[in-house]
Amino acid sequence: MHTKSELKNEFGNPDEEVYVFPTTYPQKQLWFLNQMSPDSPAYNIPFAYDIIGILDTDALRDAINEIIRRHETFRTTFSDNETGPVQLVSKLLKIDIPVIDMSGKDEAAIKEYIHTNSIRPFQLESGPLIRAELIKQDEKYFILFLNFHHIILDHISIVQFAEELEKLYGAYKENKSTPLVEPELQYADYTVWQECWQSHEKLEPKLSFWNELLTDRSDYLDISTDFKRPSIQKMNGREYNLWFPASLLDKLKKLSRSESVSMFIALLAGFSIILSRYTSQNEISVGTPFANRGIQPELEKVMGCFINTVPIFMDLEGDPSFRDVLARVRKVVFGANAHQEVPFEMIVESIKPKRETSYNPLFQVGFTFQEPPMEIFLSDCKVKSQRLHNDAAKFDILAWLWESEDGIRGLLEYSTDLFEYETIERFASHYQVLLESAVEQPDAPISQLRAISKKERDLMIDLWNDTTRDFKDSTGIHGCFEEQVRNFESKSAVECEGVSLSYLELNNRSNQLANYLIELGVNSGDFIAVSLKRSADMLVAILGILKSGACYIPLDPEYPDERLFYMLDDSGSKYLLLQDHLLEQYAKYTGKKISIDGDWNKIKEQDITSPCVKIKASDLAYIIYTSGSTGKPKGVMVPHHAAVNFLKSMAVEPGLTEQDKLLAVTTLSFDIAVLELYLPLTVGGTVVIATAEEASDGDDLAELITENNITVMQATPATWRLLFSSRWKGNSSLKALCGGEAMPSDLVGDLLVHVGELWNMYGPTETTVWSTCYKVTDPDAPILIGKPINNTKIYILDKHLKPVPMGVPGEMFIGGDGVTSGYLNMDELTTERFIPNPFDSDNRIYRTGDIVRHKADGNIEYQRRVDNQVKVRGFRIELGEIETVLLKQSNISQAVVVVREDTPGDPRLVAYYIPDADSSITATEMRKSLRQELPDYMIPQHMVEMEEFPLTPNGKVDKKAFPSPFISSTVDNEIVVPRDFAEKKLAAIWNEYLGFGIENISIYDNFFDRGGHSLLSMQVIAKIRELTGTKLNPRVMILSTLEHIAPQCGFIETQTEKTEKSRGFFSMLSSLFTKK
Amino acid sequence: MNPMFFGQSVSPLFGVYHPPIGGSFLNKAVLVCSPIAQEHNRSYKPIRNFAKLLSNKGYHVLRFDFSGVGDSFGDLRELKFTDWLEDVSLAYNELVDISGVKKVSVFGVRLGGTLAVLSDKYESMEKVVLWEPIQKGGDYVVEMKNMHQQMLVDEMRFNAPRDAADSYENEMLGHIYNKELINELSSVQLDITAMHKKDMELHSNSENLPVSTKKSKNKSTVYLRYEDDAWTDVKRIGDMLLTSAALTNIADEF
Repeated sequence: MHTKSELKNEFGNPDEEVYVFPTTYPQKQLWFLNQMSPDSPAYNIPFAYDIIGILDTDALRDAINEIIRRHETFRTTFSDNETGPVQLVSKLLKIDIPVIDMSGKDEAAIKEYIHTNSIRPFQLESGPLIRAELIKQDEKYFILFLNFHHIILDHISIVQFAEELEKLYGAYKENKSTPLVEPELQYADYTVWQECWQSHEKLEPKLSFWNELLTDRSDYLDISTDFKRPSIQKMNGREYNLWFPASLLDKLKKLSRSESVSMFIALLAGFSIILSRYTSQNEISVGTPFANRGIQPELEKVMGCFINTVPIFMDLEGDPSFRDVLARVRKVVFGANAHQEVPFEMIVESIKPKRETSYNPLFQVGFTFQEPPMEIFLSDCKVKSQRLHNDAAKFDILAWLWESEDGIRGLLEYSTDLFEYETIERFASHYQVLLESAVEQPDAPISQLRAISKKERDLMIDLWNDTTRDFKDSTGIHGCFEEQVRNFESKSAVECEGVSLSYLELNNRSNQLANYLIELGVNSGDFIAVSLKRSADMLVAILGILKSGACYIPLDPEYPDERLFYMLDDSGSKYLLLQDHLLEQYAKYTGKKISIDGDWNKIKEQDITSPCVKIKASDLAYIIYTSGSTGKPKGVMVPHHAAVNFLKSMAVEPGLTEQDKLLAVTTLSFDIAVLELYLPLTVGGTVVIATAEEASDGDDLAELITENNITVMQATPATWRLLFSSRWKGNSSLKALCGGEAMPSDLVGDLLVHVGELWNMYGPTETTVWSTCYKVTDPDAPILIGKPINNTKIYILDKHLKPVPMGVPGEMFIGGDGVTSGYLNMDELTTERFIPNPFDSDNRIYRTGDIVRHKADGNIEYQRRVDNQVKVRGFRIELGEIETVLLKQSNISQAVVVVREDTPGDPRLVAYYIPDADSSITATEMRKSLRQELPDYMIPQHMVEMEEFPLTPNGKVDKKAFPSPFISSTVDNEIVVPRDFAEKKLAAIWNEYLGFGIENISIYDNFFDRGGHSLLSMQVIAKIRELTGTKLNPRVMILSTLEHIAPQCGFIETQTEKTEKSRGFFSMLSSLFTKK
Repeated sequence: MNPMFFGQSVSPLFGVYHPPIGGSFLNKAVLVCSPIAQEHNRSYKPIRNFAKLLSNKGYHVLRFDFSGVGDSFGDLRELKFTDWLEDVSLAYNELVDISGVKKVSVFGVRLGGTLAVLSDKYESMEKVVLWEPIQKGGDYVVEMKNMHQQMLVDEMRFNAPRDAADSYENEMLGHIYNKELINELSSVQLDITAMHKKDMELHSNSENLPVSTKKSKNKSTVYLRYEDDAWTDVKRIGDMLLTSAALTNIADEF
């Protein structure tokens, strides 16, 4: 190890006041972070102590300044040069420790004063990086305030500071000389030693350990946040005080002893399990600080920043027991401990994780189990520490725990940019419950351990699902309509293209149709397919079918014939209700065809009185076919009771009355049409049916809304956007229902301005149209899907069907009256998706495949899907169905279909395919083939041929890496060489540090994307500063490209440089004329 | 934008799809039927700019080369007139598929416009705008042949006049056709006034291009000859036709 005298020879004159030393890796990193956010207090370490008694303020001041004299770290500031940041150690430094008289000030004012000082940023270049004040309240009551910057010391140093302060104060108070021996080593000694020792040859074996452990591992902990993660970390934070009772501590100690692990490992194991519950990830990476002084025992008493926080990587695969987890954690901690000398920054440089500005690399949460912040003892005084916080968070969550007399105390420091206080409060509660469960059942699989209290469970499972409402019994959907006929005989029930039918007319016609069907042989429970152009007749048809006791199956005539006939075949429909113009399309159908217009002359001969067919609530009302992942659509069987419950619930909330007129725009084949067509008829309102052409034209829709005084409209986001693209100015009396797919946040603002009320609707076909709804009022708040509708239950469960903790994402299961009867002719799939309710064995619940979470008020927030199902323009699509059909083509060997949203709000289906060798096929031909089996909305708009698919490190297709089907006007992967003086100059500097040839640097390059890292970027910034005096913020290097950075650097072409350039030009020009 | 081949894999057409900038919320699409042969060269860039202009306004746009023209497969020496009519249908369907818009509008330039009207997709088109369509095929062929002859003797083009015998049989302005195709072209007759689209609006020979004051989805527009002999003036054979002002006006038609 170099000594200080050797250093003086190497770096400067021993008589100079300031010595210059290199920085250590942790210091380089802290310097970099400080350059990014110079005003951030994130690395302030503040302390405050209430001192009661006779305090010798001079002795205290002298003691503190003596510590500063003894340890160079306190006399250190920082600067940078071409090699990067450096330490500047002053030979002498004495800080002023003022006495601030706050006698008579109230506690709040003092607290505020201390807090303001706690978060006052340090200037690393000018220092000092230690501050001290004495706040006087009275002669016998002072508050000692201390603040340090982390770059000059760590936790062990702080403890040592406290020890030295106690001894020095004690001596000076007695007018004695210092009892302490002069330190043999200083931090600068360590710095130089580290540089030699950490040359790569010596560190290589230790670095290999980390490389092997961390390469190709995901380093992102996908924990759900309350707020959207900022694109650049802001590091605002707060602390939550945590306490686990002594009884839990005792049990944990007992278990730890029996497993020969420390409390640190036991608590870390519990922490990793609760994180796994929160993220559904089995690989958890947690940052843990190591003292990093073990390599040289003589460093124990050196003050400075030695700490090294490294990732502890825990694998919870295989659902181990808690006992097993303890063993696993012990192993990884021992491994990390044995390799703690490798600086974190070096690990990052070696692994090269994807650099994001929104979260830390390698780990986003931290854990430490160590003694509380320093307590100091001053003779003849009673000293009590105050807990201070610097309003910052270095991680998403940092758990700092320690053992105390009354149990386990601790702090959860958390990012307030991501989490609300209540979320962290719940996290702490879940952590505690999990530990309690673990010590009770250390041998049970960790999936069986509880993480929620009984109170929380009761709230989520019972209280929030208390949606019972006794709706008056109606005999089916048609019964609900018939109830209104008596009251609204002459009122318009349905209107379409100038045709209007009153309630009485609609009732009479549908009765006639029902009687006709019965005469033809239709029995209760029969299936009747219905394929009609949108018109008032559509309602006559459906109501007629329902009144006959049959179940209707809507077929959209726009679908390909193969699909239509599949549905006819699969359902075994013996009857098909259609219109004359469709007879040819269904010529191959062998069942009985009834043309509602062509046969009307016969139909109208029938009695207008209701056939009064008795139906049971469990009888089927309709079967809707939805996309199936195996390549064939599946028919969802919806019973009357489910549909009636839905309609009656919708009448209450969002609400509909006889005053309302609803514009129906959705195809009958999409189950949300059930609300549009029937809901008004169940309350005495009017339904206005838009034709298919009108429903796809924004101007037409706008006209319909205005001319018909529409008060309610339900549509998918795509249709609402279509309306906005027209001249529609909005309608403050319009109640807008939006559903079918996630409501885009940019649409919310538009809708709220244009309509009177906005509702977000959610629900799968399998639980009857909508199962939750939410009134949206704030365009800036998260868009929720709300609470369950009447007689509906929502359970958010993990993969073991246990309730997830509140706020944690889980799969949504829906129970209650809306649960349908399953899939037609697909018993196995029905059994798989409709499972026994674990909380109510008499009933079933439906597994939605949607990942959601509870908010604290019981509302539900949608997160994502578990599978390959997507929604495009409101249509539910199983991407696998498209892929299956694509692969049936003989000249395609592989195919993947994704939804791309290159323009927000404009999702497109894109098929990526690999053709067979020596075959060629156009998108046109592929679509033609697809069209034989798939409806239009499932035909990919773009087809991209590829030679091979990009793969993840695990060998799976990396869908995120697929190229855009479009070529942008600025071609990102083209090399555009630097064009002007500034760009060329900057490129040259980059080349110095990146070293792959200036001709390979493009103006579109980002420094980090081309292999740079934070420390190199600091050197580049220092170089630019040296040349031009301009100091760039490191963020610019992370976020911008060369062409955007160059103008900010302050490069100015000198006259000499211009002359040299023009000399070069003329030289070239003259050579043209002199060439022979 | 998305350059692509579409249609039949044995003889695909080349086209460029311009997605609507900002998303497909307008739900409108325009198919551009370009001219053929020499006129294709002279209008390529203006048509490209037109497509970008419409795309920036939120339209889906597909512009394509007819068979035997530009980058599309096919050889004028083998093609039939009906192949071009089929091309219009293929391109129309392709744009419907890509955009999801059921009724596509069409902008047809010169013979491209004529083909659009004569194709079996005409009745499906939402709106049609034609720029100087070929109304009498016979005149068109004669004009091309005359231009060809003039160019053979044009001293700005060749050091010495070329002999007519130097040309290929059935060559017109550097493109070699088959005889049947020339005959079919010669027999093309397009009676604008008899076109079945409602509210057909005609503009011709006006120095000031008309400004569309009312957008009607049913109105279609035909711009007849604007600059007399511009297409047939050999001296301007290198000029790009279709001015920015004209294109902007045409874009407004949609």
